[in-house]
Amino acid sequence: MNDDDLRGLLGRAAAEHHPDRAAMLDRMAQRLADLPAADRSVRGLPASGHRPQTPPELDLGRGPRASRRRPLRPRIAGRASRAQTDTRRTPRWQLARVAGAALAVSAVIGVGGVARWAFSRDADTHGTPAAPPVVTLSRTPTTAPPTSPTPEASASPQHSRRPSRNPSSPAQTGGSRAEPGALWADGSVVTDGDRAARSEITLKLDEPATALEVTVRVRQTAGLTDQGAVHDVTGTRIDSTIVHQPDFLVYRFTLAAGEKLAEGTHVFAARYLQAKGGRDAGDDTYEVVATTVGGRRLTVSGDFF
Amino acid sequence: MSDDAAAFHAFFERHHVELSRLACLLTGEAAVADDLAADALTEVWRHWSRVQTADDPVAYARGIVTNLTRHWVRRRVRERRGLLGLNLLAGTRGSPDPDVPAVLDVRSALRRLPHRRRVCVVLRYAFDLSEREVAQVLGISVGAVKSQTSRGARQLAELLGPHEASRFDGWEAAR
Repeated sequence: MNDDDLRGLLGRAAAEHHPDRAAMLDRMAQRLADLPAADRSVRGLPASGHRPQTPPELDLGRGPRASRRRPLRPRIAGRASRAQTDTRRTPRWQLARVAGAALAVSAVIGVGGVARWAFSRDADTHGTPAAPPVVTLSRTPTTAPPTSPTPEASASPQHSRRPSRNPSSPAQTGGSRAEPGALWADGSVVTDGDRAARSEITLKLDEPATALEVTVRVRQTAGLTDQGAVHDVTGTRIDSTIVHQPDFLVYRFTLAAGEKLAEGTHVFAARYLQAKGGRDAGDDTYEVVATTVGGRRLTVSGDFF
Repeated sequence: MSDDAAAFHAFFERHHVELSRLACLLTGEAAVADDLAADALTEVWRHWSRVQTADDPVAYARGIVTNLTRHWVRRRVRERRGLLGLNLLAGTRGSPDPDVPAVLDVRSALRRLPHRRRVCVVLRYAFDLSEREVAQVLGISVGAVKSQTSRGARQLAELLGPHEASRFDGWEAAR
């Protein structure tokens, strides 16, 4: 066995491990919270030094996902909650955990992606907008409404029209009787530095789902290395797998059996490293299949243009 | 968000995957890798203002991971000594990859290497660090890294042997 063999084996063994980013952030928040106050100052430096005695407020940018080990406080962020919690003498570094949860989305979503409604293709009298909808997010926890850390979409036709609800009508009837709000998805590519990037699927559910599968297919372009599958779903088990196919990395998120995914906005991301200078996402696709509590099976698919 | 926090946040995003993978290879156990890497990152954050000004914050973080994993492995060995073998593979996460058995063999072979050799081999071969970078992580000389790495690589190759190689090649071919 030569050096190259070893390199291949070890590199493969390393890449086989896909860290759970959210779990790591939870663990860090927990460790910081568990430190006794005296130990929170940096050892070896006088407590009265210029360093803060507690770790400065740390926004981990973690997903809006409750700690597994300890429930988060109600997500009230912003000045008001700080004042409120301060009166209860909550250390600032605990607030960081709350802020982290609220902030979760701040890192998210660039621009682009064609938004698609599950059933609205023929029913949308306004037509598909010529320009892709631009999804923008609140950047700071002080202004984000943390109880619903959902991306605020900018004014786009999709969001301004509400479905004329007719609950008794089945969803898919020749495309004319659409329920645009049932399932909506949007794909976008977010770069994060030189080589790191992720393909994100933002999903909006109008009704809780009892089954959900999100599949993201990322074309194997030069230098592509998978970096894990992450999502921002809170308190609901979602399993993920990444399968290396000859031409594609296939990231799949599956709602665990017996779990229910709440209505609202959820973000699923396929993370990877790409060659410097970016990659062509033209062949990348995603597909979402959901079954609602009402028993409707919804499918939406799209790409990352 | 303070500048410090923003800088650390960026650091976390850039390195948490690598650090967890490092912990995974050094312990041989995926289930604890995230926790150990997270603990290392917590330490990095606690010392962030100092770490940030250091030459190489990543080397510092890797160094903490190697220390934490060494302690973890020692503790685990102590706990398990006397039990039926060191079946550290139990509880390892499953994976749909067809080469999982090969990967597990690599991990169990790595576990037989002495700590420092294992770190050298993993950092050099799995993470492609230079000898100088490894020396920085471990706080030892470049010469020591060289000898530790070559001994470790030889030992690992013997442990894996032709059997391993053929299995790996077989999988490659089947693909």
